[in-house]
Amino acid sequence: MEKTKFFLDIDKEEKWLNEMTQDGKYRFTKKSGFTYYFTENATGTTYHYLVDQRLFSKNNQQFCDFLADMNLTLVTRQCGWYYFETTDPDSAVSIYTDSLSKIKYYIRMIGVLFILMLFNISIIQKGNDNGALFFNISFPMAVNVIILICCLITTGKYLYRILILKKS
Amino acid sequence: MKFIKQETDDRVLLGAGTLYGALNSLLSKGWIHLYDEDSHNKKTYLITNEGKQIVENELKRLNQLCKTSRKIIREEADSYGED
Repeated sequence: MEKTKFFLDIDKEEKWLNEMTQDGKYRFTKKSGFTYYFTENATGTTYHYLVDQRLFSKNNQQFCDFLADMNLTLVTRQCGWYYFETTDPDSAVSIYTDSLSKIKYYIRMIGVLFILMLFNISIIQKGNDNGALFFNISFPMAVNVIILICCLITTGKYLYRILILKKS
Repeated sequence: MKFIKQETDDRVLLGAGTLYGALNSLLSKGWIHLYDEDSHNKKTYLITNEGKQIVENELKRLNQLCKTSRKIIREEADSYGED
């Protein structure tokens, strides 16, 4: 089974993956572009998934080896996004459980969104001069404005989560 | 992680990434050191003398905290008794 989805919010992505596999029928195997690949799960065991973003982090192999020792096996990775699976409910809680690590995790996500927003702004600027028109609106400009707004909203959500964590 | 969950009656849940960060922090502070690494990159750490000293100091601090808390509770209970 294949499902194409685009997520900016890493928590939503993780939640969606677990919803897709919670009945034990499917197992997540690969991600290519925005498409998630699932295979039928004949084992009858429910797999839990955890997602981490380590685009600018060091010692990623060492980190994956450590998580493998903690029953979290790397399924696939894509552009700094790491997808881990486990059958152990104790390991499936979350990769980061303390406030400081979680804040760092959200800051890493904000960093990536910031880069994406910079790309969007540069495309929007070029879109003013040329680009395909759709209902008299520049198509690249409209798409990139939507992505830019989504990035801003998601950044706001991350900042709110950081604020909650700092308060707690 | 299971040990911590059991010992704290499910109050403290330790994530693998958090544990990884904590181990690296303890290593950089010199409170633990790498004892052994097998062919599967599985590592064993040992507490250093400095680490032991830190644990003992922390235990002393926590014991003092418990002692003071018990004293305050006892004093409050006594004052209610007098009333």
